[in-house]
This record gives sequence, C-alpha cells and structure tokens, in this order.
Amino acid sequence: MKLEGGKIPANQLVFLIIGFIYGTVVIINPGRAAGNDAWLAFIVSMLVGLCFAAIYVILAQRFQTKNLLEINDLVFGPYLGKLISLVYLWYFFHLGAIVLRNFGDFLAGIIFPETPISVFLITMVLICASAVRNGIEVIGRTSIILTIITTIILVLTSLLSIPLMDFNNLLPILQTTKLKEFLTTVLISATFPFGETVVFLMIFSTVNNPKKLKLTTLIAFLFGGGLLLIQAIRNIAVLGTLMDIYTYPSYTAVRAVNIFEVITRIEILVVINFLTMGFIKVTVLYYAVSLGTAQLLKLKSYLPVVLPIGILMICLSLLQFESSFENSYFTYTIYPFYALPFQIFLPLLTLLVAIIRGKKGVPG
Amino acid sequence: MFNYLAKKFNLVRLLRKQSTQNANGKKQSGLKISPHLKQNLETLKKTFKESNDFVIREFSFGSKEEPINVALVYIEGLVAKTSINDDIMKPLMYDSSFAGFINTYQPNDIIAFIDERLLSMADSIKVSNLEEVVEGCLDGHTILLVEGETQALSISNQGWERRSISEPQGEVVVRGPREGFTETLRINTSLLRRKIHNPDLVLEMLKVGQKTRTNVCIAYIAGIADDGVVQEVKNRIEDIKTDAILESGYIEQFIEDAPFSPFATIGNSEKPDVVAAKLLEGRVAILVDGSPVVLTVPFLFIEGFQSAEDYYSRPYYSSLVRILRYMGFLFSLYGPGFFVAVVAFHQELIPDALIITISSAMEGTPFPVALEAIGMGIVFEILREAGVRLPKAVGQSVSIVGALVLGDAVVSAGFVSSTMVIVVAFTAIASFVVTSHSDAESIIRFVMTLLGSALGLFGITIGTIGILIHLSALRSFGSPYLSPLAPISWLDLKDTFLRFPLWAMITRPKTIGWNNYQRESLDLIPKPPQKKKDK
Amino acid sequence: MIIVGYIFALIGIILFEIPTLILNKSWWEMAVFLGLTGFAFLLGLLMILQVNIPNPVYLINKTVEYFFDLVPI
Repeated sequence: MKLEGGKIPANQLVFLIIGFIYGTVVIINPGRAAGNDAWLAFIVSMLVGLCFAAIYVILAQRFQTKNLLEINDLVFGPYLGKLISLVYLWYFFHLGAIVLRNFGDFLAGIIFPETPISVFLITMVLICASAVRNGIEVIGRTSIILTIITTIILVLTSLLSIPLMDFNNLLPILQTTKLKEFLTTVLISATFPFGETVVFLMIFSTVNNPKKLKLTTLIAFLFGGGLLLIQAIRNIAVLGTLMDIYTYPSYTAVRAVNIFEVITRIEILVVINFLTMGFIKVTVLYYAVSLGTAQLLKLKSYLPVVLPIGILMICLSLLQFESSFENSYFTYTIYPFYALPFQIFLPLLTLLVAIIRGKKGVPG
Repeated sequence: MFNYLAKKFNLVRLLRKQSTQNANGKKQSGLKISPHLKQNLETLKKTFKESNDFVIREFSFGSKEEPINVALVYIEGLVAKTSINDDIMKPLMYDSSFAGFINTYQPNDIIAFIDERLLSMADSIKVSNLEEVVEGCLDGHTILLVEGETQALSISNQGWERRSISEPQGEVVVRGPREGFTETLRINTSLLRRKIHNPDLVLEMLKVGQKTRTNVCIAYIAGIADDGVVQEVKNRIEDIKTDAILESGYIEQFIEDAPFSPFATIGNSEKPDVVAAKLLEGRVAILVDGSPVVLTVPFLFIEGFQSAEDYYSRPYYSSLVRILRYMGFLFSLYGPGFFVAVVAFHQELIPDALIITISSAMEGTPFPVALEAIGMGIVFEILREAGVRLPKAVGQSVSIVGALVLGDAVVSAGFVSSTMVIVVAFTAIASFVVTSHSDAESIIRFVMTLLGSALGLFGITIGTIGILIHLSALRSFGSPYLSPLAPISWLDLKDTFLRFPLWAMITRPKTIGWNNYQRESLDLIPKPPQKKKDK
Repeated sequence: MIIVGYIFALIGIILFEIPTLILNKSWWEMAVFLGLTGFAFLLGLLMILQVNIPNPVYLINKTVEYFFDLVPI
C-alpha cells in the first residue's frame, strides 16, 4: 500500500524546487566569503548543483515510481538499506531543524526582539504540519502561489532599489577574492541551496510524468538560480563591499529603499519572502521526514508521526545552537562538509551500486 | 462525559427505532385504484385528513339510463379554476351530449375515450395508483376518477399565485438581461430553455424531502458537462434523507464538499443568463422548487470574482474592474489586520509624514488598537445586519445613523481614533465588492486582526499561508478549488485576473468542461473587410 | 506555567490523533505515535526544565573539525 496516494504534475514540481532552492537564501547569504564575486560564484555553483541534480534525476528515473527509501532497500538490501535510509532521514530532519532555527533567529533577533524564539518555531511548525498532513498535492499547489508571489516581490524590490545600485560594485571580477575563497563560496552555495534538493528524491516518485523530470529539474534550477542571481546582484550593487559584514544582507539592502519619501522601509517584503519560501523548504523537509519515518516503521499512514516529529524538530532546532553566532559558524564552516556525504557521496554510491548490481525499478 | 455518551447512545437508539417505525408505516400505502368510486374517494378523504382545501367534485354525464359517474379531485388554490370549468367539466357534461357519442364508447375504456376525444387539455397522464393520485393533487394536478375504472386521469392545470419575473435584488446589472429566477420551478426551467435553444440541455427531476416532497431539477448540457460530475450530483441529492427542503440552501448544505470550511464550494445565482453561461462552461445547475436561487457546481474560488457584466462590456474595462475586485477582496481580508500589525509592531513601515497624523489621532484613545479594530468590526457587522433585515426606508436611516452619526460621535468623543474609523469603513465598503465570498471574508478578517495584533506581520503571513493550504486542499465536485491558479493551467488564466476578449476565449475551463473543450472557432477576431484587388 | 501549557498542548495532540487511530484499529500506528510523542514530550520537558542535553551538533562540529585538521586546505 502506498503511503502517499497523491500525484503532482511536473509543473508543480518546478515551483516546489524553485521555492526550495530560494528558501533560506532569501535571508542568509551563502556567498559571503566571495565578496563582490558572489554572483559569479552563484553561477558556478548552480552548474555544480546541476551536476548533483543530474545524479538525483538519473536515480529517480532509473527507479520510476520508487522513492528514496525504496531505492535504498532495493539497492543495498533490506538491512543496510534501512540503515542508509535512517541516515538520510536524520539529515532531512536536521536540515529542517536548521532552517527552522534560521527562521527563529532572524525573526526573534531582528523583527520581534521582545518575543521568545519558540513562539515562531511553534507557529511555523504548526502551519507546516497542516500542510504536510494534507499531502503532497496540497504542498505542490500552495507552492505555486507562494513562489509566484515571492518572484514578484523579489523583482519589485530589485526594481525599487535600482536608484541605490552602483553596478561598478560588481567589478572587478575575480580580483579582490582569492581563488580559495572563491572555491569555498562555490562549495558552500552548491551544498547550501542546490545540493539540498536531494530531498526531492522522496518526491520525484509522486510526479505524474517521470519522463519530464530532467527538463523540470533543469528549468527549476535555472529559474531558482536566476532568483539567487538577481538577489545577489541587487545586494552587491546596493551594499558593495559592505555586504559581507551584514548577517542578513538582503534585509539591509532593501531597507535603504526610499522612493520620494513615500515608499520607504520595504524590508518587510523581504521578511514575507523569507517566511513563504522558508515555509516551502521546511514543509518539503518535514514531509520527507514524516513519510520516510512512516515508511521505515511500516505504518499504514504517515499522519500519526507528523506532530511528534514537529515537536522533535522544534526541540532540535532550539537545542542545536546556543546563539545565532554558533548558527552562522555552523552554516558557513561546518555545514558544507557535513552535507556533502548526504548530497553527493551517498546518492552517487547508490547509483553506482545500482548499476553494478543491475537493479532497476519496475515501472508501474 | 459518560452521561453525555449515554445520552448520545440513547438518541441513536431512538432514531433507529423511529426509522423502523417509519418503514413499517410506509408499506401500507401503494394501494391500487379500486373500481368503486365511493371507496376511492373515502380513502382519499382519509389520506388528506379532511383538510378543507381538498376538493371533491362528483358529477355524472351521459345518458339518463347509464350515467357515467365521475369525480374531480384537486386542491383548492393549486389549480386553475377556469380551466377546470371550461376545459374539463364543460366538454364532459355539455359537449358529450352532442353527436350521440354515448353509443360509441366501449364500457371498459371510458378513460381512454375521455382522454382522447373529450378533454381539451394539453397535458394529462393515466395513473393507476392512489399514491400517484395523492402526489398529483399535491403537485397541483386535477385528478379525474371514473366509476368502474382502475385508472385515473391526472390532468396538469396548475395555476397558483406566483411572483412575476422581476430583477433580482442581489445581482443588479447595468448592462445585461434584467430577468431573474422566480419561486416556481417550471418558470425557471423555461427561462433556461429560452437561453439555450438546444435539445442537449437536459433537465432531470428528482423529489427530495420525505415530508415536503420538493421538486429538484438538475440541469446540464449533455456532451459538455462531465458525466461523472452529473452522476455525483445525482447521487448526493438522492442520498439526502431529510424532512424538508425549503430552499436551495438546504440542498447546498447537504451536498457541499467542505461543510467545515468558511468558503462556499457551491455557487449560486438568481440570473438565468449567469446560470446559462455556467452550464455552457460544463457546470451542472440545481434548481429547487420554491427558491429563486439556483445552485451551480463545481464552484471555483475565482468564480466569486467573475460577474456576468464582465462578459457583456468590452474587455479593457472588465479586466480593470476585475483587478479592482481582487484588490477589494484583499483589502477587506487584510485591512484591519494589517493596520493593527503595523501600528502595534512595525511603526517604521509608515511614512514619516503619515505617522504624525496617525499617532496624533491615536493619542488619547483609551483602548489598545487591536481591541478598537475588533470592536469596530463587530459594530459594522451589527449595522449591516440591521440594515439588511429592516424595511428599505428604515434600513437606510439605520445605515445613515450608524455610519454618519455614530462614526462621527465615536471619534469626537475620543473613544476610537479617526484612522481606525477610516480603515474599518473602507474595509466594509471593500467587502461588498466580492459578494460570493463575503461570509468567509468577515470571518477571516477577524482572524487576521487577531493574528496581526498578536504576532504582527509574521502572524498575518502565517495566516495567509494557512488559508492558502486550506484553499488548495478544497475540492468542489472533483475540481480543485483554486483551479486555474493552483494546479496552474495557463490556458484558463484568460478568464482569471484579466478578462480576455471573447474571441480569445477559445476553450472551456480545463477542470470543468474539458471533454468538449472547443468553444468557438479560432479566427473570430474582428477584421476589416478585405478589399478586392482587381477593382 | 509553561509546563502546564505544554502538558495541555500534549493532551491536545493526543486527543487530536487518537480517535482516528482507534476507529481504524491501527494499533501499531498508535504505538509508534505514542512512543514518538512520549519521546518528544520528554525531550521538550527536559529542555523547559533546562537540563543539559547532549547536543548532536557539537559532535558534528568536532568530527568535521577533525577532518579539517587532517586535511589542511
């Protein structure tokens, strides 16, 4: 029996992936170390990310209607497969908790300094839980509207900040940063938004038309990467070299917008973007964890595990960092190396073993 | 707790007992018409419990030696008296005495003879069951019972007092037909027929309500409407086991997909042109006798923003109006909530020039801004309810007193800030722009105000996401509620935010009428006449 | 105060999930649900009481830093 009966059309997957990629990057800048070359780093890392995604798509298309856990079971056998699945689930779970924590840190630190962080985490998890309980179809549909709203807001804020922009800030190319810093940035941003799409291995199997997966993923990556690029160019052009000293550069960049003293302080739009996109990201991860847990424990439905996992996620996100400084240390220094095994080594290993052992998904 | 459960259990047992009793009682009916006229009349009298509007008119005609005894049975007020006099009794009693017809009939088919040769009525059917006789009477038929026959004639000559066709109060248009549905089902179906001259327009009758036996009509266009949806509508209506259907709202509440949602998943209209347009898009209409409000399914979220007039006037202005409608909807959802959130949490969002005005207006008001917003919201809802229910003349004075006098007094007494009055008043006006979602609007407005006062714009965004999740989970008879938006279908966006020209609306909506999707030919765009070159 | 609210939330969650599980007679699901909820509840309670709980992220940090030392970039 299938745990998830819903099917999403390929065009919803596009929006879902865009929302997921753009997710936390709205606020947190993975290209910090590269300074004004961040935009170039994004382009390179998008290409690297596409290579990652190619592995996922090949894997998904090889095993048609199987999701990640079923693939693991098939390729590695029931016991080792379960262990590897558990490792993946931990990563999705932890990633969800990190995103939640980024949320909480930003909201409690900048927007609502007097409110405890747990209020935001609980509200967010509640709303995500309601989406997760409604199934992938509803998540997909919600993501369409939210992603479109976000894109409009991003373009709008970028247009409004044109008067503040100094495009000379983008230059000189690859002069101020050393190659090592540049490569680090590429690594960070390849793992940070792009590589995290490994979670979609749980969702690819619910897509109506698996043949379209390649095109879908490509479009989504290009579009999502485009959004990142617009945002990076905006931030660099507005803030210049000051960009790396701000924790939340988008917020600071848009904050300065002032059109005829009427349209001022529109940074709240960035916050709204962050909320909606973060919602998509947390929901996708949360959904993957819930579905995976139910699958691992052979439940008939994943609904009963949704709320407990939500509580655990809140607990972990509160527990993991003592302060937002620890958070940013983890995000920029530890996380890329922590994520790499999950994002590239394990999928690649799965693919290789599958090819060697000649395992394939039976269609239907 | 246990007491409550026990009570509930008792109730269930009681209901079960009652239903078996009802089933036993039902079986006694279904009597055949007996050849003895007197006996039939006695049974009928007993069935109608000697009600004084139940009329029996016994008379006889034919030769003196062998008179044919007949009886007319009808309910006073439901039938047209003149037609009984002129078209039933006169032919029988007067015309039959001519031409020596008495000798030509065979004693065993008097009924057929009367039906074929004498009666000058268009619509009559033979019935052989007393139950059918009763039902016919209740539908306003006149029943002709004949001594010695096991059949009766059910003659349809309904004629009760009915409201004439008038312009519906709820859907006023500047351009477009003024006629609206009335309370009589037959007239309503005829209005639909007059819009769609096509035998494919199917009207199916059902009887719903064990006590009221209300006629319900399902209308759809064969070949356009989805068969599955038609069958689903039929099944759901047939499953309604209730006493009474007094208005189409009863049907709506029994068959809707999401009974716990503030959003309506069944559309309604009082205008035949609107319903005809919806039928032509592949929807199914449900007409209920006694109600001028016709239901249409499936109902999508965006239908609330479409109005008949959009299609009658030219596309630019219609598109503008439609965008204004979306804005009005958004404002009426978020107006007070956003204002409260901004004032309480994000003062920096207000431009400098405005903040002085707002804060000076706020100064000295005793209540917190959230309480002001919710209180004023409640006051507005009360005023609206009072204005709607009262007679027109009084209702207007109520709104004048409410809006002008009360609003002014409240501000000058310093209870509420003038900014808040502006926000609430404008929200109130904006909420009238989209009437089909107005009940959902007012509920969500309160929720948004609460969220905005508790968590600022974070709360409002979260609330919006929650509403979006709810809306995308809704379905109306198989169609996703947010249909052209999510799941996105690019083709249907032609009629969502903008109203494309009619010649560009080539296809029917994708989730509704897709089994016959071409609505018009491709090259309908008006072109200047082509000049012949060889002139 | 927080603990009372927390317990109420827990009761709310249990009342929200249990009826459907009982109706469907899915006992294994119920066991998993109760187990997970119990674990989550305990963890949350310990955090509210500010007991020191081992932080998994420290472990990750230490491991990755160990590799940093191993492979000087």
